[in-house]
Formats: sequence, structure tokens, C-alpha cells
Amino acid sequence: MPCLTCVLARAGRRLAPSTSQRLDPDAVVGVHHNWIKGDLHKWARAVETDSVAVNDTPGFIDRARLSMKSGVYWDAYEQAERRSCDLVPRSPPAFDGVCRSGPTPRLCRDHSPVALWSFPGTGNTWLRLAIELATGIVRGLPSNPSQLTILPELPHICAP
Amino acid sequence: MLGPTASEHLTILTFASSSYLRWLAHLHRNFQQLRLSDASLLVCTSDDASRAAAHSRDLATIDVRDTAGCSLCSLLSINATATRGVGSLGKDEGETWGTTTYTQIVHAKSVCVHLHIKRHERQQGLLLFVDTDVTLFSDPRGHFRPDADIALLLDIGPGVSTTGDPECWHFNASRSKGSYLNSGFFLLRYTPVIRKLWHRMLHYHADHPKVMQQAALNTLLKEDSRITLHGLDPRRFLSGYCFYEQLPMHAYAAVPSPLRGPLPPLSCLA
Repeated sequence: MPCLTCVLARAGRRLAPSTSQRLDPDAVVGVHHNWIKGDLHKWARAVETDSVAVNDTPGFIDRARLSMKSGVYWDAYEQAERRSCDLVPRSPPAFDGVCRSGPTPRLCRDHSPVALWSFPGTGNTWLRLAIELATGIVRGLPSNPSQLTILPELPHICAP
Repeated sequence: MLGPTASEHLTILTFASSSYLRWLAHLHRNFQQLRLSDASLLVCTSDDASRAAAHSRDLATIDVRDTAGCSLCSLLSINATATRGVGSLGKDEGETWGTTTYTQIVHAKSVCVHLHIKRHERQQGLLLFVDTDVTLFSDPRGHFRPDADIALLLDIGPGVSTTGDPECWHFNASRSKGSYLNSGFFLLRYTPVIRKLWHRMLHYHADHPKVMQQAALNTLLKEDSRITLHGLDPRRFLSGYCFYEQLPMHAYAAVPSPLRGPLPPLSCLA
């Protein structure tokens, strides 16, 4: 059975680069911070990515390279390649409408949650039920659609 | 692996205005922390503020307003444009790209390079010209072919490739259009053809005042078969587009929201 949640996760992400398109941060010699509209915006982006030295503290080059290597997208890509999604939970699914205590099944652990957008009447309720039955994990959707905007900050799939 | 050019003296030349003082400060810190052997940083200044900032850092300067000995330079009205273009703008915000004033200001970069070359007729080694909004991570000298007169960063971004998405990885010049040779990041040797090139650049600016410096440089480079040029490896020398938008390095490329920044790990409670 394919890892459904992984498929959904991948569908929501920008296409991951192929191996030949992987940048080696250690190979980068220089960057021209052009193509960014607005000088203030340009500076802000460079600062946020540690790409400029904003003070005289030593080790700027090392920090800048480290920043390149630890980019979020890199992490997500690496995990997408090697993680295992436990569609078969450690304990048998015990779906009775609530999450039970005890060992909690993992669902693409440490991966960003992904929203599946749909319209009323297109079968999303059945799909959600199928996912819940397949994974043993219950995640009620917020009744107010505006709450979906906070989805990435929902801390846990299951509450004890 | 560094080539034979790695041992040649490197002059890093940049162009500063009062709108880019913190970029100048960054470039200076960047240069200091790289600790390049046999290298120096030289600043072309276009106004009093940039001149004072460079001097406060004990950097050697070329004032592009002082065009003594360069009759061509005076044709470009650098004095008026440099003052007007900067003085009417707020700090840290430069002239908008593409405006007439912007075009005149970037023409001053050609004056900068020309003045430096003209005043150093016996200069040996390599020149790296960079805009101040550049970050160097290591010594570029080893990536300059020994037989080349000039090597430029490939300015890859939207509109460059004729095949759809810009090719940040496998750049193909034959499938590219526009002025993709960047005039804000290039290495050169002080060869006769290069000295003539920058002389011709000033003529070109005078004859075509509305054509921006990068377009002018691309035109002249493509016309002159005597100049040996090459593009710098786009996996090592990155345009801002490739660095920020295309390459998978930064949080900005992550989903679901590029404005959120790093997301916390998601896991179920034990």
C-alpha cells in the first residue's frame, strides 16, 4: 500500500530537485544579491539567510555556509528521501472516535502537515474517514474555515 | 582545485553610493574575513557619503566625480547624476532599476573601471569588479581560466532562457537571450583588448545614453571576437534569482507558507 500521507505531502511541496540539481554549499564562491526588487527587501532577505556580515564578529563565512546547509527546504528534502511513514502503527489501530493513550502511531514524523483542499460535496468527508481508518489517527477539521490558516502551527496530530 | 591564476595579485574593485553604505560595510567585512592572500579592496565612490565611509575604513578610493585626464568621462555627466540620483532618495534605498537616473548612475560603473585601468597602465594580476551587494565565500581566482581576458557571472533569471524556466544548473548560452553576462560581477586581466573594451564602453554610453551598462557590455563583448571570455560556473557563482528563488537552500523555498519561516517538528505525543 502506498504511503498516502507521503503522497499528499509531496503533492503540496515544490518539486524536489533531482540529484544533479543539488547545490553543494561548499562549492559556492560568490553570490550577487540581484534580482530582488527593493533595496530594503534585498537587505532583509540577505540578513535573514545569513548571507551578509552585519557586524564584525568573526566566522561570518562559516556561519553563512552553515546557513546554506541547514536550509529548511534541504531538511524537508532529505527527510522525504529517507523517512519511513508508519502506516502500520506500532499498536493495532483502535479507532473508536478518539485517540487512545499508549504508544502513538507515527505519521510522517517530523514532517510539515499538509492541507488537502477540496469543495463540499466532492467526497472529502469519506476521504478523511478513509485516512483515519487507514492510519488510526483522528484529526477533526476545524469547523471555521478561517482556522485552516493556522494549520501549520497545530502542534500534534493526536492529543492524549 | 585552484589553477595557476590563484597566485596572481587580485584587486577587488567596487562601486559605492550613499544608498549602499551598509552593503559596502558588508563587503569590507566579507573581504577581511576571507583573508585572501595578495589581494586588495578598492572603492569607487560617487558622492561624499560613500567617500567618507570608505575612508573611515581605510580603503583606497577612486572618486568617479573626479574625471581629470579622462575626456570621455566628462561626456557622461557623472557629476550631476551621482549627486542628483542619491541626494533625493532616502538612506538605504537606491534609485529604481530601469529609470533614466538609474541608467546614468550605472554608467558611472564603467567610468569607475575605466579610470582604474587607465590610471594603472602597468598593473598586473587580476581585477574582480563586484557591485557592493555581493557576498564572496572563497577566493575566486582559481576559477578564472588562464587564457581568458574576462569571465562574468551568468545573470540567470526570468526571461533569460528561451526554453521556459531559467537554467540555474546547466546554463546553455545558445538557448538563452538577453544580456545574461552580469556587469556587476566579473574577473578580468589587464590585457590590451580589455583596456580598449572599457574605452569603447564610455563611447557606447555617450552614443547610447538610454542603454544600461549591462546591455552595453554584453553588446560589445559579443561583437568583439578578439576578447576571450567565459561565463563563471553558475553552480559556484550565483545570481540572486538562483540563490533565493531557484535553488533549494533557503526557507523561502519551503511549503506551506514562504512567509512563515521554519516550521516546528510535527510529531504525536507519546
